[in-house]
Amino acid sequence: MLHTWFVTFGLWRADNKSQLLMDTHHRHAAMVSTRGAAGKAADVTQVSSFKANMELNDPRFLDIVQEPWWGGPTAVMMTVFPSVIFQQQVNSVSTRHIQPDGHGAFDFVWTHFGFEDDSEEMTQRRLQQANLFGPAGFVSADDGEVIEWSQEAFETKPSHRALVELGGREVGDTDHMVTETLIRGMYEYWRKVMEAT
Amino acid sequence: MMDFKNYFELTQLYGDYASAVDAADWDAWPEFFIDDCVYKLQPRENHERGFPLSTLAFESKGMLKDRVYGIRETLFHDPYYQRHVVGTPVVRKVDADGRIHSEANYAVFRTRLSKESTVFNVGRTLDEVVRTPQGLKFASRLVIYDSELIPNSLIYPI
Repeated sequence: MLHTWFVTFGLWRADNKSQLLMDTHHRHAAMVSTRGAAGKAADVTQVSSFKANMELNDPRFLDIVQEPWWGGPTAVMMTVFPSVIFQQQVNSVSTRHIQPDGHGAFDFVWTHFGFEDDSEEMTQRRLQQANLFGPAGFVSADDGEVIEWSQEAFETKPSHRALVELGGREVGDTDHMVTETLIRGMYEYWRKVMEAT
Repeated sequence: MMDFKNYFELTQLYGDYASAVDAADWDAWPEFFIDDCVYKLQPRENHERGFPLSTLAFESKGMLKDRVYGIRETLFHDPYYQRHVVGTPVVRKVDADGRIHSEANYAVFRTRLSKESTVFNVGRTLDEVVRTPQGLKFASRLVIYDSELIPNSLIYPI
């Protein structure tokens, strides 16, 4: 349901190869995906909102150039316990820092960067692709919306507990993204740390 | 520098723009710009330090149309009303070819269903306006906002 923009414009497809990987303590993780290059709409019809003929009015938003340092994957989201995300989404590179601000609130600080030896063209490309991310991004803006709804829902019944059981109740690496295993892994480690003190 | 008729047209442009984005008339929004336009929404911190990163950075009318598609079809969000209060435009300069360099302060309030109205985004626009056969249009609109902390997300154009 989320990130429809990615799906609509063919960046996330059912033929994407993806992996969820964790360190041995399950505290840090990486969501790794590689854009599927081949295949037509018929092969990906299980993704209901995929529209093969959807085209951007201005294709510069998705002027993607492969970079050698990626080592293959087109997107890697690395979460480092407890509060930083290093994000490579095609040519856009950034960090997101969660800064707690009392009970029930946090600041989410985005820092986009490039590399010293980037050409001017690559710098412009990274700035263009930054339109996909951040608080107004084509892709990221709905993250914040849905997290806010989730928080509102949790707070309606303070005596209840919220479960994240997509993909089961276990924690482990997977070769797909249809699972909340990384969230379970992170909280499992968090609980261990909190109860040890 | 500028006669009353032209200044009246300029204030109408500012007013019509605000009225369109407050009415959620997304088809009208790109039409306030020429094809080869710039629209940027940028925090004041980056603008004043000369950093290029913008919250939104569009460099053609096509990109504005792509944003409209995103608002309507792909961005999953809680809808809200926005209300612009825009100050009187200040004309800084008019080039020999008629290009107007002007700016105005603004405040945008956000109102969600059954919630109180809150200050959403405050800043100023730095504009370049040109005359076309269809009237005055923005060649460039830099929206520089003071409120660096965006309350969660920003979906609609300022």
